[in-house]
Amino acid sequence: MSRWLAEALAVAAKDLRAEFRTRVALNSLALFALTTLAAVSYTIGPYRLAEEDRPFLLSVLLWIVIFFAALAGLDRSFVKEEESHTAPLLRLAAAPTVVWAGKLLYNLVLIFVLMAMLAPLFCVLMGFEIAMPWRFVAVLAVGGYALAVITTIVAAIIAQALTRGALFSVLSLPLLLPLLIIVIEGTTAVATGDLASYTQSLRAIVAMAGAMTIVSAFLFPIVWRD
Amino acid sequence: MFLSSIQKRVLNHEIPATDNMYPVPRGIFPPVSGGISISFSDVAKRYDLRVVFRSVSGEALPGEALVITGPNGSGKSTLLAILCGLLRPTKGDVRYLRQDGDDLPRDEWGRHIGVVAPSMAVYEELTALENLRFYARVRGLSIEEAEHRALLERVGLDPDRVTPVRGYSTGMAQRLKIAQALLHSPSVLFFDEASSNLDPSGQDWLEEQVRSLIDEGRTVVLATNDRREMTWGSRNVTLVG
Repeated sequence: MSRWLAEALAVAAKDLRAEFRTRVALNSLALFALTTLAAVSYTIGPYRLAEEDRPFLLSVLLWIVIFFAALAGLDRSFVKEEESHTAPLLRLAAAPTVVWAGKLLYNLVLIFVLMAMLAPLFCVLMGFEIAMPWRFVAVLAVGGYALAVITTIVAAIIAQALTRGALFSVLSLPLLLPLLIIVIEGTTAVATGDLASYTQSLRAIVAMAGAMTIVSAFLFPIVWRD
Repeated sequence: MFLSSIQKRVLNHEIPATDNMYPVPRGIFPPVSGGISISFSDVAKRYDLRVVFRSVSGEALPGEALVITGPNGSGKSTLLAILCGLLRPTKGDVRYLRQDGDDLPRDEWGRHIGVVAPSMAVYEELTALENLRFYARVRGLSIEEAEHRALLERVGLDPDRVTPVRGYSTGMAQRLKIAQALLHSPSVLFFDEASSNLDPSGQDWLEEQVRSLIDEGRTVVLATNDRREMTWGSRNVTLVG
């Protein structure tokens, strides 16, 4: 287990080192997130929404920004391996589950960096008040993990295709839509202080993240090898 | 004298020595005892309606080099990819056999093979040393820094060079690919047009390396149209295109 983890960490560290030198995915994520946030805060701002609609509508806007920023940058993890012809040697050198776990860790770091930048900025610019801040962090963390799991396996599937960009969105959305609905409910609950609704949403997100993790771990070796 | 971690383990009687382990003038590690042979029969590859080749058979044995030749587009690289397990043949059978005749499971092939091919690249954003460290880690090898540096020196690269591989010439990148292929001391080595980007002295060096790998009892498969590389092999498979 420790050897497997060390190998997965090596894949993630390699991707992060390469990413911090080129900043392709980070720039895509940050540019999309900040542009969308600027547009939303400029057109809607903190006071244009009715008081009672704010928790729900601001939750929707927050997750839309996070989801589409993720779609803009997270597909790079596997596409880059194929485009730069490094995938064949990686296939020979590493076990498939090691590659999957390493890429998942890499995507997790990217999505958490994105959320760490975006969520506070969004709350400040949009006047989004959160009644249960630590539970808000929990929703973001579990929702971010589920988002990373789904985008990782979809990125692996579409890496072989020619029309990658379009295919990534088309394949991701049916998987991400249920998650999007649940995390919006969870975020609305932590904003309003509705503990029962929060617990229900968090359970649903954890269940979905767990199911997708298991499915991805079994599916990935087939996708990666063949 | 520089000793690899495996050689140290032999000295400590943790693992048995093989006949060709000492002295190790060029090889970093010894190959698997007895080596691995590759047998392929009636192998065919087709992409939709396009037939790459119909029926190819052959054998590559330890201590020998198999040379795959044929005109451009005849499927040399495709056959190489099939033999190293990266592609599945449309028809036919590829087997890796240990000395005792046991089949090596397909998902273990990668551990025993090293590949140098134009379609397989190392990471351009990393330095040569970082590339070797990465491949060692994902292969689960605990190789000391000095061994990585020695390997880079062996292939003619400066281990202290901090430039990412993106700044390398094609010949230098080719040398790094060769280092990557030798890193885990594979029993089977595949070379696809290996000397194509090397200067004349690099080609001499490569020939010396390949011949020493064959002498060490490793199985070597070359896909080439280079007349010089063709002379390195004792067996031949010609694809007609």
